[in-house]
Amino acid sequence: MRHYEVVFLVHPDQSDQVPGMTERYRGLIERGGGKVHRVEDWGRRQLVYSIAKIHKAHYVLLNIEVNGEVLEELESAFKFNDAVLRNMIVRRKQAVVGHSKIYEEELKEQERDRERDAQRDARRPERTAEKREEPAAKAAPPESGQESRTGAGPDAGESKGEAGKDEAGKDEGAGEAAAKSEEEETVT
Amino acid sequence: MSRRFRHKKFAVDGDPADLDYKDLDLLRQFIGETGKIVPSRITGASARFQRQLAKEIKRARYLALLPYTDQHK
Repeated sequence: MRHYEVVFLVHPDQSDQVPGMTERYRGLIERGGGKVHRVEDWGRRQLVYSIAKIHKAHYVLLNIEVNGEVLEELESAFKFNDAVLRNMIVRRKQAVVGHSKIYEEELKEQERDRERDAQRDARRPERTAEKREEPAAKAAPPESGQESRTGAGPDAGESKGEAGKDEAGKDEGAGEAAAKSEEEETVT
Repeated sequence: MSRRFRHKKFAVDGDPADLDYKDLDLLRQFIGETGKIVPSRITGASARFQRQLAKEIKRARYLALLPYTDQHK
């Protein structure tokens, strides 16, 4: 079977459906007798130019080994899914494993965000410390985090600067962690 | 010649097979300020390398990882 590398971009508002989508595609591939060699969720990235009037998209990378039928099914799935803005399938000579550079950077960013959150909680132990330290269930909406930050007077200055980045980090976390039900996805 | 413009990687740049559209840091060195692909007579890239490079840059552009132009937005 042939090796392919697949990248697809998902509308950022549908970020929380990405894990579900990825699982479905995996199922599709494996049921067809294919193999998934690598999955990378790059999370939401800023687009260099806007696509469909949006400036960010959720990127996912897959390295797979499938036959032609499954590939066509996958292409079809991308085509008819409105949440998938763009996709690219490239032929590869062999399986690729290991992290791509983009993924490495993404992991480092997440690490930095975690450290920054940990440092902030150490400085200002508050109720929100509990909410933030739930990596598994990142149900905490960005708004509650925002309120508590601006609530603390002396730290307001620096927290505002970091606010944007933290929110982005939380968004990505929510996207990865929460596996929403598939009914919510629009498949025309 | 136009050697002044890019004192750059008089590219003993090695294996075109290592080029990857995901390797943005590398690719970015070969596009100009306007986003255009820099000619190999300036970068010193081999013909083979330049061909593969162009291919990968165009893929990255399609995925909005690299710009087509400096006039986006």
